[in-house]
Amino acid sequence: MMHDRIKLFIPLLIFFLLVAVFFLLQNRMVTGEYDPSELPSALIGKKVPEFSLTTLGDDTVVKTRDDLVGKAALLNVWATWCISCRVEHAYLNQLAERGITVYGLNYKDDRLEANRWLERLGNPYQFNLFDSEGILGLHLGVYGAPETYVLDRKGVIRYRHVGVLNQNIWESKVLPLGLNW
Amino acid sequence: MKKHPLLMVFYFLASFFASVCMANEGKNLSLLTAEPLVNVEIASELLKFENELERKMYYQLIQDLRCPKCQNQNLADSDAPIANDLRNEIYQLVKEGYTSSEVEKYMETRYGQFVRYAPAVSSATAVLWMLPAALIILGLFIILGILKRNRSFANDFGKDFDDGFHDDKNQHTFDRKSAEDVDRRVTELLHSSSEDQQ
Repeated sequence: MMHDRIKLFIPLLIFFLLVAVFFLLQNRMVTGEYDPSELPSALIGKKVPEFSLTTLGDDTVVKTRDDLVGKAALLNVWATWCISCRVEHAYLNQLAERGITVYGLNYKDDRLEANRWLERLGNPYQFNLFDSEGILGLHLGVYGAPETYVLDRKGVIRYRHVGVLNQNIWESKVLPLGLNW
Repeated sequence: MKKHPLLMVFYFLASFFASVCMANEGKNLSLLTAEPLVNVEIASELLKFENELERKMYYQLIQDLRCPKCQNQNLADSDAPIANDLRNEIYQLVKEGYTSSEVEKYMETRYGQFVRYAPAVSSATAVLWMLPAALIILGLFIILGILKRNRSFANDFGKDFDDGFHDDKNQHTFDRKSAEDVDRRVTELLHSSSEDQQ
């Protein structure tokens, strides 16, 4: 009889267990440690797809993937319509000042607007690929902006970060890759 | 209330079929997804196909592939710009003569397994594939357990039953005894009171 009484508390225990699980998950989501909507890139360990795009600054200059090779670098996907990109921009400027190579992929944007943005907020990029149709974006598996691809010196994608890149992500995700910046 | 074991089997099967039906519902874009499809339908009036086969293939693909931005919506449903881009891309690929599996492969190499609603079995998707079967087997075992327990429960009681009547022998004798007791006491009282009067 006593045993049956105790059994009645099992649903309550399950409830508390679920509360604990959700609370811990929520905590990890707040700190950005866990993002349920984040997708691992399908291109990790693969070379940047081939492309041929003009630069943002000069529509007569054409760049290909060979122009990304030679040094560990970031390939940052951004656009003027992307609010988070504005938040991220200051940190990219900081990285560039520290001598980190940053390439830009101006994604589905307006050339004039984008150039104005760089004049106003500073230009951390070695150069920007102008991808108004999102062609390279599609080949890279970009599904929003900002996204940042970490490339090694051979142009192989080592890591992809979805969302705003900041000091925390840089230290916890990018530096452990052990690339020679 | 008595739970009939057969009724439980029925509930189990009913819920199983309901979930299967719901899964198919999502695939065939009926009630739940009717509205977005209408939009796509309107937009696709502008899409020209060489033949009916290509048209069918296109619609099947945008239903079977998932939007990476609006996760849990397929490409046909999603209003996200990226879904629009991917639909256009699929349209182009279909027109260029890619087969369905080639288009799926194309998307998968760019967006990963996630874009497939039915990803290949791997260590990462094993739980997804195995869990339903495991739950069905678990459910069957639970039902078998309940059936078995009910039977042994009935058997234990059955030893004390003489026939169909739910009548306990001991209870019966006790009742008879107490009735006799009452009888005797009443007679005694009647006697004593009549003795008092005398």
